[in-house]
Parts: sequence; C-alpha cells; structure tokens
Amino acid sequence: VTGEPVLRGRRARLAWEADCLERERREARIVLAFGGVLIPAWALFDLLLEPQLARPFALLRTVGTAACWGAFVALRGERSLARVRAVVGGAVALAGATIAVMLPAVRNFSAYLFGFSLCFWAPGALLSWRVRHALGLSAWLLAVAAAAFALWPGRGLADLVTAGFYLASAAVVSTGMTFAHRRAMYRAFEASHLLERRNAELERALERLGDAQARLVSSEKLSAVGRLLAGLSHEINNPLNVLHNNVEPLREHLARLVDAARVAGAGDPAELAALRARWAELDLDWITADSLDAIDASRVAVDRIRQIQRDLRVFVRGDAPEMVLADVNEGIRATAALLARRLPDGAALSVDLSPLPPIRCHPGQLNQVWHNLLQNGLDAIGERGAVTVSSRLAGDRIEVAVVDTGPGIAPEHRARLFEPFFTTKDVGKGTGLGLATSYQIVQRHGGAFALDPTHAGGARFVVELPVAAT
Amino acid sequence: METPDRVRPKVLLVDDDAANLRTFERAFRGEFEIASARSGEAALALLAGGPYDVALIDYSMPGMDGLQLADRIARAHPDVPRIVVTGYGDLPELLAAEERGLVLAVVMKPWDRSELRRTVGRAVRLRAPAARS
Repeated sequence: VTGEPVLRGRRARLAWEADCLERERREARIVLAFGGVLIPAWALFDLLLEPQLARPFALLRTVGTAACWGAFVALRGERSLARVRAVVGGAVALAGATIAVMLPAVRNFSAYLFGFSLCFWAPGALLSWRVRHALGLSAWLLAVAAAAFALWPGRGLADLVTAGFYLASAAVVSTGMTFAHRRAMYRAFEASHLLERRNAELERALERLGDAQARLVSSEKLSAVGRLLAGLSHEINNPLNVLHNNVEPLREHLARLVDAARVAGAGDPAELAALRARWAELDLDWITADSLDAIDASRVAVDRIRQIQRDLRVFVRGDAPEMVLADVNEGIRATAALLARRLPDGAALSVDLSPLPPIRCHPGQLNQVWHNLLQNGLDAIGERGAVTVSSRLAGDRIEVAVVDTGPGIAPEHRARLFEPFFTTKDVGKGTGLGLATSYQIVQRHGGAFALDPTHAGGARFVVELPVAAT
Repeated sequence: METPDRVRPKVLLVDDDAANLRTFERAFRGEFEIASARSGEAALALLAGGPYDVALIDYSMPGMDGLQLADRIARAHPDVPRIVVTGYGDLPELLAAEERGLVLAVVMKPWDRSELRRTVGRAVRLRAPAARS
C-alpha cells in the first residue's frame, strides 16, 4: 500500500511529489541533526561505560557525526526526491553498520542496545514516517542482536532477558504501528475513491446543468420572442380587423351599384324616370366617398401588415450553422421597428445608424442581442423616456451602443449583469437570461459586450464586433 | 341600412386607432348610434355628457388602458355595460375582469360583424330595464 492517493495526470503526480519532497527533506534533516548531536553525546557514555573501547568507538562516532552533518548540509535545497531518500537510506545503513560493529564488543550490552535503539525510536516516533522507521529499527535490532549473540556466546542470563524483552516489545509496538498505519492508508485510499466517485457525480451533474442551461437559453429566446410576438399579434390584428370588416360594406356598395347598372343596361327608355329615381336614391357621392375611404383604410392596413411582415422576415433570420455576410444595421433597424410599434406616448425609440461594411455573422442571433438590449432599455424607461440605438465603424470594429434615459444600473448589480438568472425584473417579466445569452452570442462573434461605466444617467451598453477580413 | 326600430342603441366606442373607429362606424352605422373617443379621458367626458347603452372599449390604449377605463365607467356609470375588444390572446386579467363582472364580454380582434352585433345587442337588452327605471 502506498501513501499516494489515486492520481490522474502528470500535473497531479508532480504536485504530489513536490509535496513529498518538501516534507521528506525537512524530516530527513531533522533526523540527521538529531543524529549529529546524539552520536557525539554517546562518546561521553563510551568513556563512562566502556573506557577500554573509548578510542576505536570515538573514531566510529566521529565518522557517524560527520556523515550526519554532511548529509544534513547536502540535503539543503535538494530538489530530487530520489536523492533525499537515498541519503536517508544511506545514513540509516551507516548507523546500523556502526552499531553492528560496536555492539558485540561492549560489556554493558543492554545499555547500548537501549541507547542505540533510542537513536532510531526518538526521531522516528516524532515524525510522520515513524512506521517505516520502526520497521527498519526492529529489523536492524534483530540483525544486530543475532550477530551479537552469535559472536559473544558467553553472555549472562540478564543480558539475554533484557534483549529478549526489548526485542519482543519493539516487535509488538512496530507491528501495532504497522497495522495502524495500514488502516490510516486504507482510509485515505477509501476517501480518495469516494472523492473520485463524488467528482464523477459532480461532473455528471455539471453536464446535466449545462444541458438544462442550453434548454433555458433557447427558452429565453422563446420567451423574449414570445413577448415580441404577443405585441405584434395585436399590431397585426388591428389592420386585419380593418380589412376584415371593410370588405362587407364595400360588397354592399358594389351590389347596389351593380344592381343599378343592370337596370340601366336593360336600356328601356320607358323606365328612364324610374331609373333616375333609383339612381338618386343611391346617393352616389356618398357611396363613392365611403368606398374610397374603406379602400384607403384597407390599403393602409395592408401596408401595415406588409411592413410588419418585412421587419419580421429580417428579424427572424434562420440560425444557419454557417456565418453569413450581412449588414448589422439592417437587423437593428428591423428589430427597432418591431419594438417601436407599441410604445407609450411618452416613450421614444430612435435609431441613429452610420453606414457599416457587411460582416460575417449569425444575423438572427445578433438580432436577439439588439432585441434584448432595446427591450431592456424600453423596460427601464417605462412610460417616459428615450432609448437610442446607434452604430458606427470604429477602426476595424463595429460599435453598437444602446442608451436609455432610465434609472441606470445600480452599482451593486453591475458585477452580476451577465450572470445567468440574475434579474431585477418581476417574476414573469424576465428570465434573467437575456443579457447572459446576448453576452454569449457576442462572444461567439469574437466581439465584446459591456456596460459603459462612465456613462451618467441611464444605462449605456456597448457591443463591439470585429469586421473580419473576408 | 337604417334600422326601422324606434331608437337605435347608443354605443360609445373607445379606440386609439382611427382606422378601427372608422371601420366600426362603417359596419354598424345603420344599426347603432355611435359616438367615438380616442382615449379613456375623452370617453369619460362623453359619458358625463349623456347616457349610453353600451361602452365598447379597446383594451390596448396608451395611458388609461381598456380595463382601467372599464373600472372608471363601472364606478361613475355602473348601469352602462362594458365590452372590451382586444387583439391579444386570452389575457388572464381580461378573463378575470369578465369573471368578476367588470366587463360583460371580451371580444377578440378581428371581430366578426354578426357576432359583435349579437354581443352588443345582449348588452343593450341588459341595459334596457335599468334605463327605463
């Protein structure tokens, strides 16, 4: 079992290794410093416990101390995890070898055994890699003790009991720690898998959310267009009413005229007086005036419907997958015309367009943007005020600005303007997706969309579109 | 053609669209006596000047809309039946107004001559007993 969680990708592995390197290097240096202090300190005990061996022991201790401090310095700023581990391994091996050389020669066997093991236990127990250390220690102790008893058969019973007790307790403790460590590792492993599963679930949820958002975006288009169409339906119904209900009176006038004409056509001179009377009854002037009036009203009505149809045709350009060359002004004009039809008396929608070169775009989608901006402006001014849409060529970009004289955007709302579902309109009036959708559309065209922060009084939105090289 | 009836019903027609006013007048001049107003305010002024048998009101007008006008008429002249004409589909507020009796009927545009004649006739008959008392 490794301590590494289930990792994916090179970046995750590198981050993990950097984390290990940092930690293991720090801990290795603590252990080395510990050894560098403890080993020379033991020279004092050598003098006290084994004075006859003081000289050869001092040499070993000097070598050990030098090795510790040398490695301590060498590890400073070491960037390779493998080298850190190699140095630590080497230091442990050297310490073990030193003990193996010294231990069999000493008389106070148990004191040395205990003392040496402290060198491993003390720093090992302090640090996070104590399990590895404990295992290493017990292995070393077993090896050393075995060597000592093999080389020195004349030991007393007391030494045997001490060593036996010590080894047994070391084995129990290190085994316990091994189990504890393995459990901890298993939990980490489990947790990482749980995390992975949760991540996968989260990814799926995000995917579903993305789908839902896409559906909402299209429903936003429907709701915005639906609102527009409700207004237009009313606009079409008025002229339609005129057409529908002027036909009947016209038919009646025509029927009377035809009737009179038939009688006249019969051409009986005897009936001339009766015909004249009938003709006079007709009130020809009135019929003519009324018919002309009805025809004029119908013609105006037809023109109104045709104009609406013409604007609608420009507004609802099918969303072809390919961009087409189109004049942005055309869409702005049609969209503004559609919206300007039903305005309160005090509200005005004006259009101020400069000639623009055609650009590659999705005209229908851009119209959705203009529609959104203009509708927002009209909603902002309510019964009184003005909304102005203007366009101009600024270098290699087309700039479309929509300005309204409404209350403007509150500073606390500015940061959230393009956030999906953020709306200050009443429930049912806005989905909070208008600007978010428009923003995406402008981005897809490689353009920029922002609220002009310097504009005072009302809101000023600016859309910039690149004039692509064609 | 003129209706030979003793009195033609007096209809107050309110619509901001002149073409619609003329169309109604042309369709019903033989059957009703029609007074037309282009706004809610003008309609209230006409109502203050004399009795009408029915008020036919366009819903969508700038300023005072059809329902607001119907409400004002219901308060000032409760005996004048109100009919609202609309180009919008089934607006919930219109249906609610019809349900609570604020308006007698909601007529969709484009209206049908014979149907509108029946609706206005029904309103006039409703008004008749009140007018006689």
